[in-house]
Amino acid sequence: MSTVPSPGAPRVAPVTAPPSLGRDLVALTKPRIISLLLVTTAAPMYAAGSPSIWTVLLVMLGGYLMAGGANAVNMYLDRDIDDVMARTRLRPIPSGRMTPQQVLAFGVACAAAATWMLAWYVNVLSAALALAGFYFYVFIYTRWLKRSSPQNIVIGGAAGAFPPLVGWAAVTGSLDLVAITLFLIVFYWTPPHFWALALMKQHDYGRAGVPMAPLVWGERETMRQMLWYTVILFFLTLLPWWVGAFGLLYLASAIILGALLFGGIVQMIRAANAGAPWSGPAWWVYKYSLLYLALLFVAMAVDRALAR
Amino acid sequence: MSAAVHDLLFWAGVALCAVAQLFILKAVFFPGPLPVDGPAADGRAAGRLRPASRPLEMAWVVLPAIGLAFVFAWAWQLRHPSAFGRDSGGASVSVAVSSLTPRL
Repeated sequence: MSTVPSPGAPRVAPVTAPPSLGRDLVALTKPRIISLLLVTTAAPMYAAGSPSIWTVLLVMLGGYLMAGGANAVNMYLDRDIDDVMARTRLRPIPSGRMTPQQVLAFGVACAAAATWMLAWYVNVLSAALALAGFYFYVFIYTRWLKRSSPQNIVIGGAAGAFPPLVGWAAVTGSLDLVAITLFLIVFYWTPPHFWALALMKQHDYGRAGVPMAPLVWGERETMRQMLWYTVILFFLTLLPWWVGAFGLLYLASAIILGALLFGGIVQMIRAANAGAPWSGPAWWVYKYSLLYLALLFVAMAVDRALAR
Repeated sequence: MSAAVHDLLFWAGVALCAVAQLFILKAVFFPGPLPVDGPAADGRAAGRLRPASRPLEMAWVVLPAIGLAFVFAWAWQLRHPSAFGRDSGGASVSVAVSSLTPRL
């Protein structure tokens, strides 16, 4: 666990490169989070068909701008609690390097540019889906559920599940069962992923008044819920194989990757039940779940590429 | 793999998902005792964790369950179009998925 400074403590930036407007603008988009979203956008494109590299690059850029814009608007709306939480106090607004208005304008501009780019150069459906993800993240998750419900990241997780739909729609111009299943895979992946982080950062969330599941249900119940969501996730990942969309390479990947995630959560629960420190296994689950989703989606693309 | 084993795998998956979904629903519809210490109790004591609307909380867990059931039914319909009383099996869906070569 990191040491949490008190709200009045001076802000000490980590010893890295000096702040600049360019770095702050990039930071507003949360590039590390978006990199996973881009994997879940690109892989379905190759699973759905054989897109040109130009289409892939445009969708990647549009997806980055849309998700980055949503993240910037999220920082604008959450600027009050970002100032309270240790892991967010050095963001551009709470640290005073940018004004809230600048951040809001940047976020809206990114989303507008992404909508235009996707609608003009790719297709209207992919633009509409990406914009729906933006609105869902900003209004349903950030504005409504984040501070009012322990289901915040369950329902809010739908925002992060739009990228596979965008990628699929960009190639096929339509949505089908496989695309909807990919949406549900990301949807059911989000709770075990995010609650692993919430378990470790619950003091931070508590201080900010964000009703994350561990704060409302307790640690044990949250861990049990992570397990149930992972059971559903596991079988959802097998569904595309069952309907014949993907082959044995994908099936083997889904089983192995899912078993490892399930095992990690069981290990965390066992540690908690034994009264042993569980933050190590929880951290492992959080980090592995990122790798899990990326590898699962890469397996889809590789499976289809090898079948062609 | 025979069609019967294939279908058995499907129903085994559906059954396990149903059990998992029931436990998810139970946690919201019939919550257990809340933690008496730790950050959860501290947050409640300080009044920082705003109580959510209970009907809405229920809706938030029911909606994904409905979506999940819909997807499983859709998948079954694709494999067994006659099971839903129509051979076309949802035209737009069939067309899109049939473009993916089944390799079972």
